[in-house]
Amino acid sequence: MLLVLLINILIVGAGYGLIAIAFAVMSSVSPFFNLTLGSIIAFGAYGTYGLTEYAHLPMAVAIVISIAFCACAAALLERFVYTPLRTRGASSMVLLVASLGLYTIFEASIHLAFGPQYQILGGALGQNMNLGIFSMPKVQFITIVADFIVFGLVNLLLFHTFFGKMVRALNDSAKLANITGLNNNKIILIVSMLSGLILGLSGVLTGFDTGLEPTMGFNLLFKGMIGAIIGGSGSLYGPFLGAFFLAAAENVGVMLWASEWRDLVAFVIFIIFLIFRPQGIFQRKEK
Amino acid sequence: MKKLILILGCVLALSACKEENKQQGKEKPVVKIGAILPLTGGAAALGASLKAGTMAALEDKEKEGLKYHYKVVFEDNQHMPAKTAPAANKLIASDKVNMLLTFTTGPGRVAAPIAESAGLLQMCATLENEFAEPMGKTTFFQGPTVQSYQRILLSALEKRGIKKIAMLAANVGVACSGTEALSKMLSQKDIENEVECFNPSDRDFRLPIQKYVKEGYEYFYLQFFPPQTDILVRELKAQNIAPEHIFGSGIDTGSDVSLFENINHVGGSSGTQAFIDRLMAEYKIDNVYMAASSYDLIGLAIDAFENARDIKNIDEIVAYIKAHATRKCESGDCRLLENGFIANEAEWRTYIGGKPVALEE
Amino acid sequence: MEYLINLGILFCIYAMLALSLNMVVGLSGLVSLAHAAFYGIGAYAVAILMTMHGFGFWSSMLAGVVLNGITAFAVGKILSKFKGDYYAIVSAGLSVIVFSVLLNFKSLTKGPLGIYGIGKPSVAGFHFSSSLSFLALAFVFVVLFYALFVLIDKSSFGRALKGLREDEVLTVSLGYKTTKYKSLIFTLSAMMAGVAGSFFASYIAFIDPTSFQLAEGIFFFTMITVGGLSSAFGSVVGAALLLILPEALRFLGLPYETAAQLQQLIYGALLVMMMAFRPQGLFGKFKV
Repeated sequence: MLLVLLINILIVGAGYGLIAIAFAVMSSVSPFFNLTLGSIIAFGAYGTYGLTEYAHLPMAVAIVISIAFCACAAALLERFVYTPLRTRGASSMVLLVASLGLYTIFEASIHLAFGPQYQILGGALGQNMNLGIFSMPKVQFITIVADFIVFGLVNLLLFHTFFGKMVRALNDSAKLANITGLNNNKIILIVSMLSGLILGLSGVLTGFDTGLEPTMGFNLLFKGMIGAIIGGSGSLYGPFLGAFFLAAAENVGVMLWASEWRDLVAFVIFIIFLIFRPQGIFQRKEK
Repeated sequence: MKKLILILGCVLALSACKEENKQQGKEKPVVKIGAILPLTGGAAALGASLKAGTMAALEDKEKEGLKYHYKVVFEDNQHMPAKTAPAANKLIASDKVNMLLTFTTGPGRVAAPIAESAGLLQMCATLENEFAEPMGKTTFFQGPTVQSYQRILLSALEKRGIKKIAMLAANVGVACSGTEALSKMLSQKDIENEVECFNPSDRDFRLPIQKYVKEGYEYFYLQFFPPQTDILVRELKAQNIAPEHIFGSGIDTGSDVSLFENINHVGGSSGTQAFIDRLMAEYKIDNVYMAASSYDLIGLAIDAFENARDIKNIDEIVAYIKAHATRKCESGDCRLLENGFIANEAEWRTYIGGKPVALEE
Repeated sequence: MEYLINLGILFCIYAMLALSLNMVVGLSGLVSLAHAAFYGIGAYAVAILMTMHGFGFWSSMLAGVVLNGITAFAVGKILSKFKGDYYAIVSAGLSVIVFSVLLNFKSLTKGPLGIYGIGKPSVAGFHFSSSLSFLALAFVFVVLFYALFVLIDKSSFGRALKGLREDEVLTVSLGYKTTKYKSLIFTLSAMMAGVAGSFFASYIAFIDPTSFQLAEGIFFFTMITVGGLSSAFGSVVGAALLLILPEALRFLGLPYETAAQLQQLIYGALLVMMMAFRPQGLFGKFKV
């Protein structure tokens, strides 16, 4: 049973992890609780669904276009909505509320365009694969692999390249970064696209695993954000491991009690963390 | 800004005072049915089947020749009781409906006092049972009886020699409590079982299912709404539970018909095979879970209006229904009980080739 | 006419909520999304005590108010450690926790089955069973809350709140115990939300947990953001506007299946436009 628990934590944690990483990456240049990141997850899923179902494109092509669209959407939203608002002196609350408004608009639009019906992305990815002691749908295995790869690559990018240095400089102080000659806008653009890409990927994978519904973005984003916050900022290990920690808390709760209390456990852990260790588990440097 | 508010206020006031729409059909007076259904949200598939049943009832009655012209006005309450009250008020005040149709006792109980004080009939298609409190003096509700549910499920399990079944339900409406009641009954008949209920936002069923599989459960009983229905059935199959080992109520309300192939469906009021086939073909719906309920209720209501000397006299309407509700109806034998509940029989079906097929008890 | 009276009752309930929330968000700058929880506790107090224990409306409401007060006091202490958008997210989390309890603590709340048959209030033998009388009673409370808001706004307490809203560090340095003030206003606001919940339970006569989810709290927040932060008039206008909107949509004869979504689109658009062009809301005096 323990093995079963661990595997499930791995699967669920990987799913949350992708979102947590994307959220952390985005927060490094645009720090606020951006609810439209949830919309982008939905765009990834619905884009793929729409392109395969209505435009009859092959699955692989649809996925690539969809994820590319997500990257662009994230960049455009940042460039034309949040950065201008921030420049005009908007507090992070205003940004949160604006993102809430936009999220509502996007969710309603998806609902109107695709109907409330639950859908699922079909194909071979839903099929089980046998790995000896256990079997799981291929897509869940791919999610785990993707999480590790994304973590590895983004970690490399942010902490071992010059570009990453620029991003972290921007994070520390946008004004200073600008003065020292960094092209803030370009950096923000690239980082948003990266975040959007990861979110789009997450959406696609979710689309194969648990399917699509217009409200899918909100809950997933929340879980990802909680994972990122529990894990702590300042290092990418934070969101990556924090997501697994959240998954562990939830699943242990389900094992010991019942599934009814899953959300309660998640939020109580979240709040306890924020009270007693607001910097997260894996804070590397002081914020 | 003040102007905007003023304008919106005028729109509202004007609309509330709006005269009734021009009459359809020059000779026949119009009788309006206000249907408050879950047209969107998790119960949307059920709303669609109720809508189909309603329209089919209208269609069939019209063939017999009617005194009045019947029109249905729909409102979406997203299966939330709180949204039912404004919808009912609007239907009564603005659309001047002559009766209400609702789904499940939550919205039904909210609408009951509203209907009663307006002197209007309410028909409610429910999953409630024969032990429920009356909903109101002018409300009748119909659904399969708990006893027939239990009998059918028990028969289905005993026929297969099943002695152990895991029971999973959603924390929505009567799904969880209904499943708990079934669980008690099964325990009394020495069928080992465990109940677990899930929040409507829960999408992760892997661990719970594995928990039960490890405890030796090979059979599962489900009671959910979409999309949990779909996700759960998919997950069960991914964990190598055969469709024949899956039992459930309302599982055919999920979005993907191909999922239900060979699954055991217990309960609901879907009607005869011919009725089901006709509804699926004519109204292009995938599931007919409560369609026969709304068909029966609307048919009965129309009969009451047709036979009343004064359709605005609610006592006459109620008296007619009390006298005629016990009859042979599409959902099986209908029996009116003391509490205003019109009981019909549950059924046992499976899916073959995407279509529901009745199984012998 | 009956329709307008019913709409009026809902307006009163939402106006009470808006006024209570605006005290916390507008006057004090604390973005709370937890008010759906207090609304729910007030509603369930009345529902449970009246239907299962034979209490009257007023004593049940009082019990709900007290329970809200205690809960808010405890919760407020936790929340006061956070600022800005963290405050919002934690308060949202609290809303989810309370909803989870309402849904799953079945022995107390009957969970998803809900509680029906909730009665109406009486005063000195007069029973508020007609909708017109109920509207009048609810309206009295709206006026009371409105007056309370204006009173606090103009008082030194209000000035201290606005001070800590604008610059907490400065206010603390001037000797004000800001945590005490935040706690006080949050507790008061929660108790008021409980009153609104009590009226809601009595009016609809049937409640279930679905009316008290996070989405509802976000709706309340939208009301005051659009109507005007830190303004009593703005609260009332926001409540009216957001209530009239779905009703007005009904009359446009839109296809039934899309009405709910179009309503959401409009709410979302309102929020975005407000933030972009008028972050203090229509009649507000404070920008988040």
